[in-house]
Amino acid sequence: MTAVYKRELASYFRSPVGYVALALYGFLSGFFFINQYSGGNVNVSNEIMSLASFFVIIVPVITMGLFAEDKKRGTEVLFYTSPVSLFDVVLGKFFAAITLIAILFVNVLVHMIITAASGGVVNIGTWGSVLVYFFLAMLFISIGIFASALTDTQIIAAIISFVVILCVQLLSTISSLASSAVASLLSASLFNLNPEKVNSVCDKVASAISWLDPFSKTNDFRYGVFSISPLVYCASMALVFLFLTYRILEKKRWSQK
Amino acid sequence: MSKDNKVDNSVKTKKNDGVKSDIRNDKLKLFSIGSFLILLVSVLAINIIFGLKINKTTIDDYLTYDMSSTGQNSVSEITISYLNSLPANTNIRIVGLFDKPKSLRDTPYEYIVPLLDDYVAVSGGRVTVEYINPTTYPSIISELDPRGVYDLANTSCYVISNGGNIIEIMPVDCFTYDSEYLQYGYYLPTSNIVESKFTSAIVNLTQGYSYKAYFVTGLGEGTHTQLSNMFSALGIESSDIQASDNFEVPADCDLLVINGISSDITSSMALGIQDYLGRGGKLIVAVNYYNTNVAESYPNLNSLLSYVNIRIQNALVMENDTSLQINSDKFNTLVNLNSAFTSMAGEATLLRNSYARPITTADTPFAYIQTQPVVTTSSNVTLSQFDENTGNLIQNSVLGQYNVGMYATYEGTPNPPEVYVFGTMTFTSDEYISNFGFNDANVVFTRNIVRALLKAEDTVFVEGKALSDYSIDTTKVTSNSVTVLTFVLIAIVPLALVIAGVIVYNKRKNL
Repeated sequence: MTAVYKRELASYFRSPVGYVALALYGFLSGFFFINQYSGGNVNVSNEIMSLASFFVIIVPVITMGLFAEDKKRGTEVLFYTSPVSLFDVVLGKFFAAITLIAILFVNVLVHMIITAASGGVVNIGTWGSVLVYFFLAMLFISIGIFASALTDTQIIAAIISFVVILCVQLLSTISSLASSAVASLLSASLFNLNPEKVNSVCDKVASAISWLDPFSKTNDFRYGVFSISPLVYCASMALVFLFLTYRILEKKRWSQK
Repeated sequence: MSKDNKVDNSVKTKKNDGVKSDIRNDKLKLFSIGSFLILLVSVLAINIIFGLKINKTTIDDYLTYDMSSTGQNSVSEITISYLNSLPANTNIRIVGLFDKPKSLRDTPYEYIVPLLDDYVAVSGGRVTVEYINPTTYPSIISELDPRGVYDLANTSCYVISNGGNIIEIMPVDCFTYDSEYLQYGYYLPTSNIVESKFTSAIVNLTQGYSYKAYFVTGLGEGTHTQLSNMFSALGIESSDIQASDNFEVPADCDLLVINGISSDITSSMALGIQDYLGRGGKLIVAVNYYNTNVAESYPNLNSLLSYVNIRIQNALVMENDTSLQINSDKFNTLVNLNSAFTSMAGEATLLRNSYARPITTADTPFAYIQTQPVVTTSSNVTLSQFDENTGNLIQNSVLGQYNVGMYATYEGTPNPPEVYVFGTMTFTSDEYISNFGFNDANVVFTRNIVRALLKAEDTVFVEGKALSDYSIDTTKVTSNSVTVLTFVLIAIVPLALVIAGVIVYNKRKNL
């Protein structure tokens, strides 16, 4: 796993991908920071959570080539012939992407130092946001890796991960839309239901979809309220996607297609 | 032989619709799908378990920790112990009459929603919180307020209900605001009193109001919303009593407050209040010397106060000791709290004072009247008065020490009257309490004298909480530093990285 990790991490900086991601991230984080700094109020948690909403762009850029590139070049055969388990390969690539995210995050650490030096506040809520940021990164990177394993075209991998991550980020909106759709369906005279019963069903649909939303689950960390379940949710869902990736790769051992 | 047979069986192929496949493939496929499904179900189960309830509290609530320094999102020990003292079958229902806010960031709800979740977590099932939009569920209005006393349909408020009674709390009322900004329509919060509001509502619903206070109105006074909030949090129900010639203090009055009146009470009112004091009444009087009342010498009020040997002078206290002036202002100063009262102000010895009148003893010659200075200026004070004709300040050159707050009672009497008189509004005005919040020493002092007057030291009271302050040192944030940082962080660093990426690409493109 270490060999895969080192190879993938180094590959980010042997191609423009790592530099472009760093530049993009540096610009965005700098923009958010300066916006607050010039106003005399700096809440680094706001900056971190704003950056988390840009995972939809950063993560596809970072993960699109992880497996798709190997498939395209035909080097994926090494995964099956090298004395290393496929899951280790997946983990190696996953941790390399996480490390790149950590390198990007150095920007925010610099902003935190500037804030503290300027008499601002870096409190427990800020560190809560940092924790949430990395758990969300784990989740989204696992989605990106999964997308990359599905195809041998980087662009298609990027589009798939972009769409999936966007859907996850818009879960609260999707829940409202689904609720309205269910309301329209049930309100039709065909069912003849009591309006409050209809609303009750709609609320349940909306809350079932919202239950999947990692952002609403982790909202309180930025106020210094730490909870175990959101972290377990992000980590376990990341595990699901990594396992799915592993299964997709392993499929080649038995599938004839 | 049998082993070989097994191998043979496992590798045998089957013909199915012309497609030749290995049976091992099917097994591996089944294993692959099965193992994934098992993992998925396990993950979902683990995450669902966090939402299960034990003693009406979810496991997730047990595993949630508020580590913020101000405990903004956690209820205090005072609230927890009160909730735990209630019978286990108590049902306090908190209903937000709107959809649960999805984005809390930078809204008042960021201080309310997580805190209410904590009420549920610590109450052992005694408190429930729901968000029900009356537009979607119209029946909730009649369910909460069957008599239609409140206008719940048109207000996005929280309703706390218990035993058929309700109290409504507007989210906007869960904070104190800077009154200067408020004048221009801007709400700049100065402190968070969310827990104070909700806990006092719960206390008042479950054990009822313990005391009754009346504010004298109709004499050009300001509002007393913040003081009423404070009283409510202490279990004191407050009402207004209009100034009139047939003024009478109600029999259920435990505390009478004459707060910031700019015109004098009538002589009949003085008699009515004197009668109330004669029955062991408790009275707080606060007036200052500012704008609308500089010409008012309050003869009738002084006539009333002479009953307890106190007099309010018609003059302005001017502090000449620069170490006690706030922002070099002779009229906004610090005053010394008498050592007998320091324990009532959280051990503070200096309190804020603004445009004060001196309070002195009157000439009432009865030994049983005990007066005591409460807050006192330095001995470097001169008194001044505005000339009504010219509007100029006429300054008395004689230096002296003056009281701006006094306390009086009767000694050796079974049910003695007790009176606090302040020549400043920095203890009781809405403006002051709003600007400085419930934890300010002056406000803490006011709260404690009310508790002492009503012998209500044991009442449940939750302090306000300071809001997180993210401002940075303005001396360090110059326009130059902002320009330099903007240039470095938004232009130079990203550009340097892009150039590095281009160089790497050019060097490696032919490899």
